[in-house]
Amino acid sequence: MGSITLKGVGKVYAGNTVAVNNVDLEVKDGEFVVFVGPSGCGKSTLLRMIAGLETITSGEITIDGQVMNDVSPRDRDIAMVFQSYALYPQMTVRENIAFALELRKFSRDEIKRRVDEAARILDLSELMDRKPRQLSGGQRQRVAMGRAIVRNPAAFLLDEPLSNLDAKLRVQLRAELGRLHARLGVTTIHVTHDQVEAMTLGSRVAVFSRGTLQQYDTPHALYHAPANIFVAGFIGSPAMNFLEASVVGGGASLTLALGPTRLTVVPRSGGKELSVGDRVIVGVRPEHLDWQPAGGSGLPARVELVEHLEPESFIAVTPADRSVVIRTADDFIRGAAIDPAEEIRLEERMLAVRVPASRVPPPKTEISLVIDAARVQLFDSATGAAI
Amino acid sequence: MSELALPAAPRKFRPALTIGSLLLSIVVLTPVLWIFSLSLKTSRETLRPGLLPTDPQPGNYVEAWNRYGLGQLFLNSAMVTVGSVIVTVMVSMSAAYAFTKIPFKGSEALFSLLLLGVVIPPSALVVPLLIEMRYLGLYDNRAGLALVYVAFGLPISTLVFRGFFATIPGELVEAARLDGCTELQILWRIIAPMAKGAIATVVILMFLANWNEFILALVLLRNAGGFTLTLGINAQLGQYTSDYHLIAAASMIAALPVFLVYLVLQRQFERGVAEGALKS
Repeated sequence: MGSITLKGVGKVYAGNTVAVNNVDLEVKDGEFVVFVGPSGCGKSTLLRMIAGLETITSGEITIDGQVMNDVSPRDRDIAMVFQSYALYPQMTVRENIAFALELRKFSRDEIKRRVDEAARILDLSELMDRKPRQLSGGQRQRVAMGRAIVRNPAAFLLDEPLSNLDAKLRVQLRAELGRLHARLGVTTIHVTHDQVEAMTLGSRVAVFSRGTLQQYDTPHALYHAPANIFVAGFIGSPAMNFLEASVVGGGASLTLALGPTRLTVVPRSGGKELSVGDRVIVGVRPEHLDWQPAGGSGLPARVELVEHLEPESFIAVTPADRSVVIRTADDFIRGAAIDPAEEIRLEERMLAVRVPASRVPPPKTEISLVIDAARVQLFDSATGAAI
Repeated sequence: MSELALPAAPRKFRPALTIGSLLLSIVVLTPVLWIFSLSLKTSRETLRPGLLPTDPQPGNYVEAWNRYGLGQLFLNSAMVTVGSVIVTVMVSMSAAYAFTKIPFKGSEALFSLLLLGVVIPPSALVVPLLIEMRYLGLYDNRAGLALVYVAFGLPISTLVFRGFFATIPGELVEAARLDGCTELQILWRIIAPMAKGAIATVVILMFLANWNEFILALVLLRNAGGFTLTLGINAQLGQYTSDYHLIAAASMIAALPVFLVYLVLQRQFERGVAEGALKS
């Protein structure tokens, strides 16, 4: 078993490209932590730095209290599962799983015992004499896990191990991973870009963007108390809606103006003090929006698209008043790898609303959008940080 | 590795390709058949026109073997060739592994320098090489000759291995490192078994080149006891008369190992060439 601590860990590539920026993070013994973020956010690089496959430019990595900065990968007592599984093609399943034990000079009996045990846990017993090319994607993934668990390491590092699988198998193996961790209790760091994987597997989730750790917390906290607009927008599907607003009334509760509509909210205690005239971003999740027929007290809007799903459907709406500005998380990470061609233009932006499938408004109709003021989250309009 | 095959030629080009291949085969095989025919002729018949021997003499092979001491020549050639091929494969595999899987400063520059060896013909370096080998005490020494073959073989073999290793996923190497392999263990236990095609390619290329090599052997070996086959057979050419039928028989015997090596490694070699051809 092992705890993993990162202190001020950074990685700068030649040409001053910052891949990982000053990350502080602790993974407790036996914990299942997920690193999540979009492509190129540095999560895999950080995992590889923990494994010793990448050098670190600054900071300190400790495993079980021992500084690992200059320790070779094979002496770190960690096992890694790669996205491609990296099974040795010339070896059978049995040889693949036993290989690390042979290198470590375990006795033949001990190797057999451990390999058989791993095969039993992962339901691989029938496949032990096959070569990797004779296995399906799911079976290969299980062999890769077998190769990791047989060593009984201090920690498992899983680098997008499910992303090469089809959707159905991914769900099945995701559950298997969870069960395996519950059974073995080995410290695990799982890297993924899939927020569902992150939210379902991790006891804590570290969200990365552009090499920087944005928030490290429980899935519940990430969803309900995101640290900034990036986290709020990244966690949750469809993403949280963001609207520009200005403070028009102060006091214990704030009155916000969203175009002609007024919204009264109670700011989070201990947050930044806001006064009349300040601009804020109002974050509201699709399930905290509802609709009424046009003419109600809510924000006048028009239904543009309807996605019929069961038991809930999604509608995409545009505010009728064009002075209501919709923002996206991307607006706050300018300079990141956002393709301008893919950026949604301001006038084309829509709000996502989650409604019961039984009461979906007809498309192209005018409605009144009701915002659950008690559930909105406020963000600084300049920095995107939660208020 | 999946089975690889060269893409089939478009149907309309096939007749032309078949005729072309046939013509090429005739051009290549004619001298071989001519030497084979010569090797079965009598001494008097050698200078007469006509491809087929009127009275085939298989005994020429036994006579050539005994009279020219082919046994010793074979042994010398085998020692020099097998030794040099083994060392070339081991060293060039290690070099190619370092060039592809171990990032280090100056890797590209060093590889470019090594590639210079491919473009410099060995015969251009004969004189300085002779001086160097004398200085090192390796003149007229079979091990010295083998070492020279290794040096001249390294650039092209490293190039072949580098091309192949570049296609082996880095994650495989990293997995082996995490499993506890040293770099040498990764090379011999993980990479080498995957590189059979590339190894066969290099073995055949090097075996062919070193077994048949003449100029360097001529310059660097003096004592007839250490002569390789090419030198030994060449020594039988007299100023006024030569037993061409026996020399032809000896040449046929000398060519046999190359033929056998190719036959044994043919499948791996063809796969290696196909992989290289598709990856370039």
